Amino acid sequence: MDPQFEFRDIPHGSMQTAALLDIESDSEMATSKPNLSESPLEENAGAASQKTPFWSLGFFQNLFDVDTDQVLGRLYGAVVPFPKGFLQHHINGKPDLYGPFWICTTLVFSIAITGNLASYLQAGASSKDFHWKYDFHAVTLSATVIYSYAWIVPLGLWGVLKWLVPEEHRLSFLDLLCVYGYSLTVYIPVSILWVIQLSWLQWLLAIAGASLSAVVLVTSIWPAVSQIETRRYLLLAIVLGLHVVLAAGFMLYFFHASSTTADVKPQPQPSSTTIVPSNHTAHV
Amino acid sequence: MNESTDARVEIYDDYGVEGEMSIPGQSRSQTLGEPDFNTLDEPIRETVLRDLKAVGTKFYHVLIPREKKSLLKEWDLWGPLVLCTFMAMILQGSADKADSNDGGPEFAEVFVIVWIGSMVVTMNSKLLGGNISFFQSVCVLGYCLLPTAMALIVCRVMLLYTQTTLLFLIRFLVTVVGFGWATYASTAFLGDSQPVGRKGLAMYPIFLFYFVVSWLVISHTAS
Repeated sequence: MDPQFEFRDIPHGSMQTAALLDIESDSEMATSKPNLSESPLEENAGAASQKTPFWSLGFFQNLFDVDTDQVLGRLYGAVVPFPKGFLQHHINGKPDLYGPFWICTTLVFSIAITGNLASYLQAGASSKDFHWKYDFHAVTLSATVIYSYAWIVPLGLWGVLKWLVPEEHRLSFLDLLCVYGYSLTVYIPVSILWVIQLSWLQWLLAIAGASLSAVVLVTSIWPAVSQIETRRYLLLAIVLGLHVVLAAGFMLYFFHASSTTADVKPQPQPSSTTIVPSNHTAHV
Repeated sequence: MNESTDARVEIYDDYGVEGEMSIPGQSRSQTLGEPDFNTLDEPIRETVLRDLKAVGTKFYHVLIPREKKSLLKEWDLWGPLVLCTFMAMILQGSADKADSNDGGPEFAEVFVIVWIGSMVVTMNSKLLGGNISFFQSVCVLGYCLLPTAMALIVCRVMLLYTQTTLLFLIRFLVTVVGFGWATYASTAFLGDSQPVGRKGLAMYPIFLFYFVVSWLVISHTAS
């Protein structure tokens, strides 16, 4: 059957395996799972959690070990950056994957849905009698872009930091994954507001969103990046550049009414035209 | 269900009590009717009808989610399969090459969204520490697609007429009701399986799942 059963059933059995499970629960979990809090390994939880192999379900359960209030606090921290640093103040050595995963998933669908809405508004603005159809494949595209950004960039950054930064200042891959995931939070409300078809407002929102999440990113990784002797600003510039390109790419591809195609198309159109979502064709 | 009974057996085991060891076996025979119920002797028609009736009862419970444990007793995936196939058939874009602007999802894409979606939502609640088996949760999420599927039928019928703003508003309203109903029903069934501080975390993905399916429903336009 499915592997979850094995894990769930074990802890009630022998003492050894009960201790194994307790690795996943730290002091905050103890209140919600009182039957596990009696284990003597409790105080060791933080150190022991490093040893859970990543292919086991327990490893991921450890990463989903957050409460609603905690996640809300982290979301707030990712939108309203705190001078102390998001990673240091909100994550506090306990990265979760719940936030990053569901933020990415929400962003995938919010961009696909509102992007469709924007293309509908553009189609409605450009001709009175139009036959508009939604483009489901915006989901596929936004999913590819967002998931790969949220995994590959932290992976690359982790590699660079591992190579250049002394061990005591390094950030773990999970920390970076968590920071990158949460830094995308601000794009969710922004992507909804991007529906409003005002060019200056769209640019303003893109700049505001990118700079807010850039602050989250920079304050989080600066303690590690500042340890690099040379070219630390180059690394920071690459990180920020990728982030801004992501924001601008979202806006231009999914939301922005392209002025070039609008200029090209003033010739008389047939009464019932099928408007291709014009921003999906060719521009930028 | 198996988990909780197993856990109880283990607790009794610790205290040295032996009497309750046969709980799993007992519960299985109860669901089939009499204690020594034998399906080998009965006509095939009865076997099929019993399964159909079980599926029908589950659909009924989704529409009127009063009894909380009704969908959790015995999972099956027949209802989700039927609903998912039906929705995928209606929602798929036309395969006609001439209509290259048809942006609807492929049959398989709807299938993937529904099945992978419900599995991811289930994995999420398992990882958060939910006390529910994998297939029970997939079963509940699948059966709770019924209101959105009904909204899809209504929308499909309305699409036969010339589209006006009023008709769109009605379609929108129907979809919203279907979405709310599906979310409410699945929350009623799955809500209790989560630890206290994490109900919100487990419910949000369910909300997102039905939201996306409802988006597919409202966005579907007749080709």
